[in-house]
Amino acid sequence: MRSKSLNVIDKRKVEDLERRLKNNGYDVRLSGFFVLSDWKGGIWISSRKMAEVDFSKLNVTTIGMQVAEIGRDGKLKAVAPI
Amino acid sequence: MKVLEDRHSRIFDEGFSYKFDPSIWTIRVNTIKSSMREIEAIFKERGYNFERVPWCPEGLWVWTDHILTKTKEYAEGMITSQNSSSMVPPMALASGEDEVVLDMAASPGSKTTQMAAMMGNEGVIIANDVDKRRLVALHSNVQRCGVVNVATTVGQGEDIWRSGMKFDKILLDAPCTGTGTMNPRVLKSTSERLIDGFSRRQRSLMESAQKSLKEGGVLVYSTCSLEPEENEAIVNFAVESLGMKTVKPDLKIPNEFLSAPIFEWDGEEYGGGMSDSFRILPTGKTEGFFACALSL
Repeated sequence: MRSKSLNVIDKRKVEDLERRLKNNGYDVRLSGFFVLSDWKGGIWISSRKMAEVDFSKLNVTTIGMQVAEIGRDGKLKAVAPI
Repeated sequence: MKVLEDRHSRIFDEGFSYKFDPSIWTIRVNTIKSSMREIEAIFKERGYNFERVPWCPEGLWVWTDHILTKTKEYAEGMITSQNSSSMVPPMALASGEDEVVLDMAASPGSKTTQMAAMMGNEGVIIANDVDKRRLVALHSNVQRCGVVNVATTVGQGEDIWRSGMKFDKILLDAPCTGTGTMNPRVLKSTSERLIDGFSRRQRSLMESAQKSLKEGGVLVYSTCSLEPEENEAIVNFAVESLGMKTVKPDLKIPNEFLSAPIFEWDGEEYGGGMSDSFRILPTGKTEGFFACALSL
């Protein structure tokens, strides 16, 4: 995991993620979190400050909390309780 | 065992005796997902006896035959199992919402999730562990507790300073013999040689932590060991050789849970800074524990 992989999604994308989660039967509200995507086949949320950290010299295994897995079919497969 | 008995008779006041109480659970309310009021109401309804931990507003001692780690509240991350002594280091560190914090030896993550809750799930905690397998428990606790401000990393704590990162706060809950747990298996297997081995490693970790701390930052050193070579000697090394100074956090730990600071052991003097440290006794409610805050 390198800092360049930290893909912080903008507000519109957060709303889109919320909509997708709701379509999958999850009643969630993600506002207030940063959302990191396209990492380890999942969707992760984190604190805002996380985006300021340079992880390039660390051997990172997770960042924040995983809220969803994306299956090979592109559908969300699992969501952690938020 | 005999060696430890002799050592511990020198550490504890005369008349001290340890009594294990298997009926006590110690839990911490996870304020990211619940509140003390909510959990106390649930426990009251179930008829549990409980008492608040004086030094941690989220800590509870609970007397029940129920397995609290198999309750709905535990599964949902509203509560977590954590010894009351181990609540001390995060309280002493008092990390804030905008800070970048390093937890150098984080697994299984009870202190990490406590710090995350204290920070309001803001800021950043880098939770490191040397063993990738041990990170599984940490990941699980972070997910269960709804913690979003933790990044987990795997690597040698001794090398973490090489990343060049500087931290506002550092928790060094060092690997140790664990004699404060009073676990008979641990007590049986602990030798002078083992204590010396841990002590050497703890010095290296302290050196790495000191190099990773921002000027004016705070570091809390802790172990669940009772042995001075793993505790006061390491703090003394930080003060005498690394230019750090001890700090006294404002924690309300009743005297019945504390033993006197150790200023001298086997001819080695540790200096006045030791009066800033906390030596928690192994009682029915607490594990034996050592914690000391230091700053640069």
